[in-house]
Amino acid sequence: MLRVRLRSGEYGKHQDAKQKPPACRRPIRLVAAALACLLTAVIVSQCIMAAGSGLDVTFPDDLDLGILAVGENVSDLQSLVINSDLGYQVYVRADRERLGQWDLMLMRYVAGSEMAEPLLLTSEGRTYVVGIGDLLIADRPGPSPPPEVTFRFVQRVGFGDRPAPEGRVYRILLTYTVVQNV
Amino acid sequence: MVMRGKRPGETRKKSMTQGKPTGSRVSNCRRRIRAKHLLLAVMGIGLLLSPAAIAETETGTQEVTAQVAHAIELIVPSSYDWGELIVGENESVFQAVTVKSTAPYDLKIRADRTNLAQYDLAVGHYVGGGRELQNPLQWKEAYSGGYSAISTVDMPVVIAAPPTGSAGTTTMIQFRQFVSYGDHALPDGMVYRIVLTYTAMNTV
Repeated sequence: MLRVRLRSGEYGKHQDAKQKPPACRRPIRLVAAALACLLTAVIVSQCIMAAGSGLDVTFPDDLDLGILAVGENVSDLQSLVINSDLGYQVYVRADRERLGQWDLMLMRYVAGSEMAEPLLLTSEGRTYVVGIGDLLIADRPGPSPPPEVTFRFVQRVGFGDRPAPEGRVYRILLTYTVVQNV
Repeated sequence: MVMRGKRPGETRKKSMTQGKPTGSRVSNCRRRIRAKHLLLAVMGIGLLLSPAAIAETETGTQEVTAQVAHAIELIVPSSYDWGELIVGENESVFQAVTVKSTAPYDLKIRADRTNLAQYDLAVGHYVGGGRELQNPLQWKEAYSGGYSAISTVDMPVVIAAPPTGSAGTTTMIQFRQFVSYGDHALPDGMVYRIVLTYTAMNTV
């Protein structure tokens, strides 16, 4: 774009001088103009689409699973409320593969102190293993999909898992991504 | 006419517009420019038409935290029938006690009495004023130490053992009973009996 502007100025100079631009510039101007038109059209259409298709998501609050017992621990029901006039997909990913000990003072993970089992997510009869890769947990086609996606977490604890010492908890950070269908 | 110095850009522009390039140089220049603009156009269109660029997305985060409870589980041997004891030294087979614990633990043993006593199988209790073996029951951790007489108070078998992992840790215990000619054989329906209690406890 910078170059296009420079050359437009140059063309202005030629106009002032009552001269035609050099022949080798004409295709360039045409290409630049066509590109500008195309980009404008795409951006405008995108703006129109964005204005016409609203997406408003309420994500679940932070969750304290409390003190986990040996065996299977199931969380309370979690929900994402999604107001969308188009279909959407919900993905979840984590910052690590398993809950790890988190130093509450230093605000960082303690190396080599993860739980033995990964965090599981159950939704609509399916069980997913939460990890660092994006995981599709809901695929709701349009035009007026249900506004709520609910799920629970399951954390299995064995005798191989150690209670975290004072000042530490087990932690994992989840990121939800809601993508509208286009 | 205003006189001004040359700028570096001007020199470059002049060389492109006012110089006298040969035909092949002009052709190369055009091709390069066209190729660049086509590339830019393709990249722009590709970026703008990609689903990621067009689709509206929202992201949010949720922190999940938890603690692990102290937990301990104990698997003790089932009832042990020692059979008929002979005069002299009688040693039991190893008795396996398995502990599963998420934290360090102690394992202890005690008995309801120190000497095996006459027990009525039909009524299910010790015979009041009945017979007892003359020597107390002895026990030891199978692979270490010597025998000790059993006590009615807790005696340590293992102290501050490390967390066990899911498989648990098994401790073998062995018993010994000396029998003398002062001990009496019992009538049918009667046995000599003692009840052992194992205790595993987290130490935190």
